Amino acid sequence: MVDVGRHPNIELLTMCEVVEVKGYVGSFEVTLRKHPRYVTEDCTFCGECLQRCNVFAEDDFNVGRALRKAIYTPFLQSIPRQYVVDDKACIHFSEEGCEKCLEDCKKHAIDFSQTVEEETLHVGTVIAATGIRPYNPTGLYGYGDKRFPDVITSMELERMMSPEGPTNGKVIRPSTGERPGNVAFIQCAGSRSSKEGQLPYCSKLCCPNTVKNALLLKEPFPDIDIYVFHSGIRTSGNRQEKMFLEARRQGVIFVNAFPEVTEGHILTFSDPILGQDRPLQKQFDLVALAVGIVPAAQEMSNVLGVPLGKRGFIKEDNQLSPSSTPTSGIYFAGAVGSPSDIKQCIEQAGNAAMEVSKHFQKDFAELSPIIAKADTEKCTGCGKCGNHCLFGAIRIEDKVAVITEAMCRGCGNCLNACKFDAISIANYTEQQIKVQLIEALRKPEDKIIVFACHWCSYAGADFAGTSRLQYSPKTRIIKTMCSCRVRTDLIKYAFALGAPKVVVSGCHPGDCHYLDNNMFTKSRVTKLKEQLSSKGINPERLMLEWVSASEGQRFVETIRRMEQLEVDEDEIEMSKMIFSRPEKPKSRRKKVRLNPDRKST
Amino acid sequence: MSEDRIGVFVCHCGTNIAGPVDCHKVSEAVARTGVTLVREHSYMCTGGQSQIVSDIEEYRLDRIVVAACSPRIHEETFRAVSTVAGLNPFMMEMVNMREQCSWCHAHEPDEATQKAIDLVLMGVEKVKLNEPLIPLQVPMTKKALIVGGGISGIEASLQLADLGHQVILVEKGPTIGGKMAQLNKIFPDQNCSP
Repeated sequence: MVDVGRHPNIELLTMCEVVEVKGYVGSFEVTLRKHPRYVTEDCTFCGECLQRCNVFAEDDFNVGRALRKAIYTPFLQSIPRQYVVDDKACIHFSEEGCEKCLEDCKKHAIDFSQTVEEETLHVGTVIAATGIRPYNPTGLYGYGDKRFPDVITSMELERMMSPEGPTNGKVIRPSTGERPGNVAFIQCAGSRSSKEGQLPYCSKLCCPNTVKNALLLKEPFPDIDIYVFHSGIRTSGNRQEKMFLEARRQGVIFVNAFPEVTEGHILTFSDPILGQDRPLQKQFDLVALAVGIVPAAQEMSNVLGVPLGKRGFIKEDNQLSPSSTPTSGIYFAGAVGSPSDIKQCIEQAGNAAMEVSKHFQKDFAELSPIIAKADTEKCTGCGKCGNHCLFGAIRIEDKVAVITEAMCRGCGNCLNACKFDAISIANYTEQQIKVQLIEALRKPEDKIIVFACHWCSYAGADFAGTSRLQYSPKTRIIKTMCSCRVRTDLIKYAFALGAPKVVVSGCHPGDCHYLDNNMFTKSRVTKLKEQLSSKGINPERLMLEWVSASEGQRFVETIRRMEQLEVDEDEIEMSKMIFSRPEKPKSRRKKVRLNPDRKST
Repeated sequence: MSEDRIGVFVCHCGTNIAGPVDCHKVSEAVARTGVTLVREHSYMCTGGQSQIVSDIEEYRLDRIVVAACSPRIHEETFRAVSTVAGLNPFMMEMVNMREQCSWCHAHEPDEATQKAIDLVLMGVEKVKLNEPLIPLQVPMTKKALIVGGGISGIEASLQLADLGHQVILVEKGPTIGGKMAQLNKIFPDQNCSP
């Protein structure tokens, strides 16, 4: 921490929020909102101001279990070494007025004229490391209820045990101020639960943290009774497991059940090992709820435009790039991406720093040129492409789609959304896929056309080959960057050429390398299948299958299933005829183009 | 025929491809389509590289198809080979005759050969429409922004700063340290925290 404060290459900006990030790798424009500290860099941390201040406020560093002054430092080792004025508590800002601290500051370091300011920065890369907050268990096991003053959270216990904490390191019962004779820890308080408002995941660090605290409690008072209620202690890693075994050796009792907390801090539970029919009851002096962690990721996600996973953590681009977001130049580290302990946070920070460092080795960032291009002649400026671009790479300017090349990933979802053939993907153009279909279907008979995405399904097909799995040689695989690139027109074109069967294949839901673009694929293919049905064509002739890079077997099974489907000549002739007809909307297209305003959004 | 000067390079990959697939038949079939050059080699990725370079120069090829293994294995290799020969790397198209043909149809040589021919012809038709592309280059501002002054932000800042890079560390609160600073001791070694 101290190193950060004095490192010549680090500019530390506290009391600052990132409110906007624009641009792309190599050139991000960042807007900061600087909140006033009211104490300037002239502060020498002498403490005179603290002596004079008579206004008290709740100390959030000590989780509200203590009071602090209105001018304060969160903790003694705070960096930067400057006090800060809590303007919500300080009476200088009320009608009363007060300038006592200012009067006593010999360095004239207190400045009440500071206000909120905005500042713009120019940077090449961004690392999001906004971390977590502990889960608030109010309502669970009596926490927050006046009848249960001795039910606290693991973070509150942590502060109590700290020599700098509100009790100077003494563990006490909040209700009496006395040392507890026995302590109960309740694991997974609000975690690993599908209940509304609770965390469905395991936060990974609460188990070893509880074991750590149990050992620390036993150290000065070996006679203290400690019970840990849990549903499976998770202490993976060699030293964590050692800690757990040591705790057991020292007599910490682990009960594989969750208790109920009733009046008088009496915990009722059934021990599954003893297997009683009658539940046990035991009174505890102190109950600590081991709470999970909640990612502080939402704001970052909004500002940076990076996606969150289902559980609210920042989503990695793919599992082999654990610090990368889908946006080049934006990385993340630590528990904002997944529950991580301190050691893992440090490892991830190193990884993210390495990714950034790789960029800084060069004077330029190089980006794939396989991206979308808009034909301004054909474009009507309807904006549909922009709505379909999950990367925010398309905007409408003067009624024409403008693509920010550096932000485009080349997936092709915009092309699929465009009704006017105004968008193409470099070297994956509509025509290029059509000529491949023509060659593949010179003798269509029993061919199976497979559209496979670059990242997962094509790699899955490769893996089938590497594993020497055998399947029908009637398959003809066509690669696209993303399955969302496969326009329904292309599938129809394949049927028009006499293809008996078509497979569209992409990454599993949630694994798509272009955020959730494969969900567009799903809805398009599903719609087309309905259309096939309505035209009297067997919809099974079109298959959508998710195949990951490691699922060679699944790829082969998909092909085998398709192979078993019987399609007779009449059916092929029928689909050939239906889809060879010129498409109706052609005439409508012109109308829309003549009146582009109608479709503008 | 077309004005394109296309070279097709058919790799045997020892017997990996040439075992099940009759590579001569593939070459003959492709040659009939009027491409400028068809060349076979036992290992296109190693010994074949210099052959490709000299062929591009000698036959003034403006686009090439390398029918070999998966582009996931050697696309970068053959793009680099093209660059050496002065050909835009995106005018090279790979055809997957190994992972997606010879290896998975090992017991059906006739069918595998027919599939290989189709795949190469698909590649030839595609490469005719390929456009030379240049990777986008955007200037790099060598300054990193790190948002959040907890243990991860601190560590990432120090790592980058120690490598000599400029870092701006932004923290919402009045101090860095994050949640770790609130912990009394940290597992598994019960070290002091801040």
